[in-house]
Amino acid sequence: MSSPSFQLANLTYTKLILHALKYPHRAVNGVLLGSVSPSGSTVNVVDAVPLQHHWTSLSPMMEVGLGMATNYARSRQLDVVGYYQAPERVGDTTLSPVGERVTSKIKETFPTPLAIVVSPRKLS
Amino acid sequence: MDLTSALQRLANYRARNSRASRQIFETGVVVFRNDALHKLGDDSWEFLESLALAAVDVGRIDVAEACLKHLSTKFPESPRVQCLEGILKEATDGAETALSFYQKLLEAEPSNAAVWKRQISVLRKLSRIEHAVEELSKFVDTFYTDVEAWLELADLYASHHHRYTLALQSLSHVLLLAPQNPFYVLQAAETAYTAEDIPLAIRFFLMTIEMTGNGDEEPPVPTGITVRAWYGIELSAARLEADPKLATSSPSETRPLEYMGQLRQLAQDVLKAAQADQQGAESQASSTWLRR
Repeated sequence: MSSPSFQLANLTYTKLILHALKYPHRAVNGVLLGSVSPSGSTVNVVDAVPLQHHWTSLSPMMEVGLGMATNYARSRQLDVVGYYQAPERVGDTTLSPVGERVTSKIKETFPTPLAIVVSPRKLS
Repeated sequence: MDLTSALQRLANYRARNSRASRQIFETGVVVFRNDALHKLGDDSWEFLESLALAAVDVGRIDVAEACLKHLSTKFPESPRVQCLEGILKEATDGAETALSFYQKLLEAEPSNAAVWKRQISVLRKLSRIEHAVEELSKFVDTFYTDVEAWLELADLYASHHHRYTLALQSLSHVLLLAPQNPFYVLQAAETAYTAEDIPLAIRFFLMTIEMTGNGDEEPPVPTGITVRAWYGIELSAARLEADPKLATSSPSETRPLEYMGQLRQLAQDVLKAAQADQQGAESQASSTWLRR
């Protein structure tokens, strides 16, 4: 199966940026919600759920948040389709260890998750 | 905003060491507009330092340089002022230039703690993580009682290459140095959980709850970080139910608690009570999750 393309809604993009800007000197993260198009070739990422701006390298509250976001997604007939993070430092461009974990967890229910790392340099 | 409340606000920010840069900058400017620097008396130097840092954060280098000038005239050769000078260099000339500046100062005076910490921060900024870890380890060997340094080391370890056990070891020094702070105990709990040491995590979560002691209601209604700790208990108990071998494979060889089922039930009751006065999506999200 070839990997699908991802379409980010304006709302999703805006939320990511606003979350990062609200805590300019901190790392932030959250999950992405969306659904697969009928053809199966595109994932529409229609919303984002901001989760943390503190201890983003530690996993328990992220797990709770992921669980709650999953229930919320289901209530809107959506899936959790990915994870996003906006790092603290300009030099941080790689997916953090927690990001890897969360994305693997999402993979259990959504086989082709998206992971977004917001570039602090581009934001500034 | 009038001057008195501006001064009060600024004093609060300094006392709490908050990084509310935009607010500090806007409030600080009020002091200048009222030509009121002298009204701060001895606090005026800390005010200038705090305003300089805020100015750098909001990109007003001109204001930062003006503050620095006052400070370096009053306190020439002060390590604290040198730090500020370095931070300004980081903002204007870049990290590498600032790094050379710090290295030179450290060669002249290796025990300049403020500048050493600045050097470590810049190494981290440049993604030279192993070098930062090495320097920070030497730093805490020299300045053992610096809680901030141990916390930074724990964060470095937790954020890079899953070194959670080393992060926990750093946090254990924090707990020795500042045993009354439930915040650090909670951090240790979450770090232990991340390290898959569930029995240890549970003990730290319980310790946090004990330290923050939310009243005598039955069940207790937690607020603030206590809520986080109760979520940690519920999550940990659920993990143990799902994966019983986690109870006996604790890397720190922490004995598992008995009555995990009852503890999980208690956590659920407590969390429901905490959400009781909330409505809508938030409390629904919580109660749905608790029933999973």
